[in-house]
Amino acid sequence: MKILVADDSRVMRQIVIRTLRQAGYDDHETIEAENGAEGLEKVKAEAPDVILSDWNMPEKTGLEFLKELRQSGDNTPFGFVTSEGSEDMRAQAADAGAAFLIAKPFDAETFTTHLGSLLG
Amino acid sequence: MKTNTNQAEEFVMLFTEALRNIFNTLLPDLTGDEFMMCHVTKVTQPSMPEAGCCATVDVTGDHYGSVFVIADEATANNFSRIMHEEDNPSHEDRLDAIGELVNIVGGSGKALMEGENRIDLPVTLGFGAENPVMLPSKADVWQVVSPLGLIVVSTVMHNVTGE
Repeated sequence: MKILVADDSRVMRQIVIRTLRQAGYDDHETIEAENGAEGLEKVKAEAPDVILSDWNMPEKTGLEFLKELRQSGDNTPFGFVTSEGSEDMRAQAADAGAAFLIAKPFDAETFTTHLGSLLG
Repeated sequence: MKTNTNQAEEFVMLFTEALRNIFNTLLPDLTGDEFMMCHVTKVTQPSMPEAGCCATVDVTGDHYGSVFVIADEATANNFSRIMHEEDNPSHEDRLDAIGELVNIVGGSGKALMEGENRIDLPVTLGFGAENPVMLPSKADVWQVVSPLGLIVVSTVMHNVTGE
């Protein structure tokens, strides 16, 4: 399967990819995007199976990315990996169609819990 | 009704716990070493490095203010090495690593605040003798003593509504 990781921080993209590896998903292909706008382009070009996105990004936020994706009819499973996880944000994420919201810092077990049903 | 003083004291207490949780989750996870633990203390006179990397993120809304993360060059390099998995990170890598730390720390701080608040994108800069970094006089300051070096965390927060 192909996993798109969208985050404006290169180090956080690497940490997310490393955590995927630690969670046992190292046989999946990962692709990266630096913001929501690039994320939309990568979805069109690469058709990922799962999207993991930061919330707060330049150009287009993670929430805008998700909303535009759903408005275009794309239902690729989408989860947030972000630095905060307030109840309000979790509600906004769920309303927009996100499968989950993982707040930093996180560990491999958290990824397994949320991604297990999506990645097998 | 909580007074501003009570709110500030409660924020400091909760933020101290949040910092302990962040660094004592992050470092063992990044290094694979469960004993990679940090000691977090609230201080009045921080040991400010003479040169290094600084990152700040602003919070706006019902509260406004800033969160800072400051590290000397060696500490920033150590964090960057484990976060980027690179033996020789560049200065931009070091700034990126400290920027991500302030993003995580700032996000936790915002989560402790009541009301509607937003967190901006992190801003990073290198500092040294010619462009020293100085914290605001009313800042709350914490020191995070880690096996990778000393990190200074600071917050300056105001409640816009005054409640």
